[in-house]
Amino acid sequence: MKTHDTVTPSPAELQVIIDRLLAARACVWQHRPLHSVLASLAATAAVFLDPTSQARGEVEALLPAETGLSPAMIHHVLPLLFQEYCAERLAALVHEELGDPDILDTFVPALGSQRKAYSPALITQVLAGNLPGAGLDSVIFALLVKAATLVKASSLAPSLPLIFARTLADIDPDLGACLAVVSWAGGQAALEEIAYARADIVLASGADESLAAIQRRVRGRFIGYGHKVSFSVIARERLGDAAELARQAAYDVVLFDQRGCLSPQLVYVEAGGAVSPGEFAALLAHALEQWQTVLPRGAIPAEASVAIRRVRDETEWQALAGKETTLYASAQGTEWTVIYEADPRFVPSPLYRTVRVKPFSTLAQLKDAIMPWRAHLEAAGVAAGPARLREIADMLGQVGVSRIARIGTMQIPPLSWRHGGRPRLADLVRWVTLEEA
Amino acid sequence: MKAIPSSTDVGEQVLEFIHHPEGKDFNTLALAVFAYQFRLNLPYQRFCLGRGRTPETVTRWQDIPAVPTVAFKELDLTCGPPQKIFLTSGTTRGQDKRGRHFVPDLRLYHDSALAHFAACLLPDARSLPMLALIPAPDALPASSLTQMTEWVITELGGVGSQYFIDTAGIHLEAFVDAVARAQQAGTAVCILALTSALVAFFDWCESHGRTFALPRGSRIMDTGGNKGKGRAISRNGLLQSCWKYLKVPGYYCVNEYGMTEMASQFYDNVLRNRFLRSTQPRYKIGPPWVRTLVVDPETLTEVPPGQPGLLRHFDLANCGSVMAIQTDDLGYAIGEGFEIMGRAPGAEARGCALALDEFLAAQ
Repeated sequence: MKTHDTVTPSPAELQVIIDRLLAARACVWQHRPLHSVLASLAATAAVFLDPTSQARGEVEALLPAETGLSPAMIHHVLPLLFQEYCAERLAALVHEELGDPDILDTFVPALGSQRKAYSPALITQVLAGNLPGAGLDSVIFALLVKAATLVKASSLAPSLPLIFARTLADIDPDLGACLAVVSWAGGQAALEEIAYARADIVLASGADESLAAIQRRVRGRFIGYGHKVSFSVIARERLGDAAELARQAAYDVVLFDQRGCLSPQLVYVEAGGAVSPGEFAALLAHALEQWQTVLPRGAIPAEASVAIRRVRDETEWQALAGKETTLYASAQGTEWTVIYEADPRFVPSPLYRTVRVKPFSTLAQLKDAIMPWRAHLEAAGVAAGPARLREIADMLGQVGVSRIARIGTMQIPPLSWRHGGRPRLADLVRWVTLEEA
Repeated sequence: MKAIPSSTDVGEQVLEFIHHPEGKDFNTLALAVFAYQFRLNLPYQRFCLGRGRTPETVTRWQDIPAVPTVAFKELDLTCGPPQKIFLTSGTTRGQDKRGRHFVPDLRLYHDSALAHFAACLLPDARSLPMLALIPAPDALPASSLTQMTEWVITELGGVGSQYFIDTAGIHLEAFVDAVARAQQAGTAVCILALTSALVAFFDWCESHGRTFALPRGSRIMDTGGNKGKGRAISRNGLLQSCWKYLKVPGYYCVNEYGMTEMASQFYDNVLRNRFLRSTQPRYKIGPPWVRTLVVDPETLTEVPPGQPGLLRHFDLANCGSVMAIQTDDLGYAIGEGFEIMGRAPGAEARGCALALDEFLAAQ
């Protein structure tokens, strides 16, 4: 199957692309109520949920090479990625964040006066990585609030955004005209200047220095999603069912080969439960081995293999030196690695299914361990009894975690999750109040 | 029953190999060194037992268990009381813990280092003044590089050899004067430089509008790369600058690759090729008492020549510590040696997770 090459536009062509986006958006903005936009977006998502659709087949064929994930993984995650964008859930999100679904189209009553939400004309989105579906939520949200959207896809992985745009255009040509996907290799200053400067909002994900470089060119608002780290916490009262918990925790590690910001890189296990933290590490290792047969890890860059080898070597030699640490590792390659370490310090992982298990005795100790990472924390998977769940969640929330999920669901965030700790739709629009006599 | 050679026996055999490598069998001596290290280096013995490899089961040098360089941070890997302990710089990858290489018999390091330096930098057996942009021994006493440089200067250097980095820092103007004097006097010199110091000198030349023309036969050895120090420069960029600012041609510019954990070093083959009239391309060569394997970072099995992998060195001169060293340097086998590789392009498009390497790079 042919890969979807995006053609790098010239600066003049990019100006024309943006002009057309803005013209299409003006039309949709005036003539299309939000519910009809929502219906088209949900119908587009549904195409990717249909295993017999052409778009789904193309995506399944192309994504393994683009993303490095195994075909089994792509097949497994595509439904997870698109199931959230059904009409009911999108409508519920609109209701929660914007209130009245007509608020983008007309003034509606609000606290004794009237209110209307104005969407930005153009949102430029920079999708940096090659993780499938990353940033797709922002694309859908931008279109949902009737903004035109210019997507700069990763030059290594443009297929999913391109096929999504094409599918949307087939279903709803007017709305489809509000979305353009372009791509270029890094360092094209003239194109970046146009793409960022003409946008009312620029949304970008990437490493902190890449975000800072983008932000310097933005004239409107900038919303950045930096690289983040997630982890899991298992309270002692839940360790009665440690094998099942380990299976679910391993699933969180396995999905997307642990490359996502929602992928747990460490599992903190409370001491004093039915199994010790060290024993849990062995269970987690066993579970990762099992998942490898179902959802095998994909190809990984040589540098990643080297980084995994390095932490394995470190652990092995620290153990030989008498340190309280144990290495569990896949026999042949670097498919999975579990490091048990008594030292509670928070250490990020080289990824690709490399996870550390660490013990904690008190919540205060856990808090001390994660505190230095507060600026980089994303989600925490938590298993705790009902009596302590809120206490643990409150501590994690205070420190900076924006999502607390059940173990085994860390990679499937609901639409209600406020990525980055901010509303998703309400943050994109500008609010106007009308006070009538 | 196989007699286990005594420590002096093995060390003397390695010295003999270094002095007269012709016709000697690497495998035989490598297995003897392995048996010796297995017996006396107890952490290494535990490591080997964990892998089910002992002198009884290993018959090929390729199968001798290789110790990763991180191990030198965790344990004292030695076969006897050290004459000297060399420390790694400890600044790489943001780790404060420094690796320690115990050297029980400095003669092995000394003889190995000088023999291969002479073979790669002085194939014409000239005695040249050595101008060192490498710290003097008192500025960096625990560094294996300064130790080696000191031996090279005192034993192979000609009259007028001098250090230009000391406890006070780098003395670029004094170095410039020495270069200018050599040019004026028509005296060929050998520059020994940290890559970063050489780049600093080129930057000085650029900002002062100065260029020099060192006499024919002058040569440059640079080492250490310049990651994280000053501006980055490619290998080709460096060679161009050597010509532009010093009129030293590329085939007289030799890059050294070495590590604290190894008594032997590797050098570009270019200068040696010039004198041997060899047409081999530029790559790194080690001495006859060192072998290098390139292994797949995933499976740790040997890869075919040309294919990238991790470098694993077997250095007989490491007789007193550990002979088999697993590096985390990526390279590929070529000709009689190997070449080091830079980072693969596009490797950064990974996902949205903050990873260990990114965290360490930011420190």
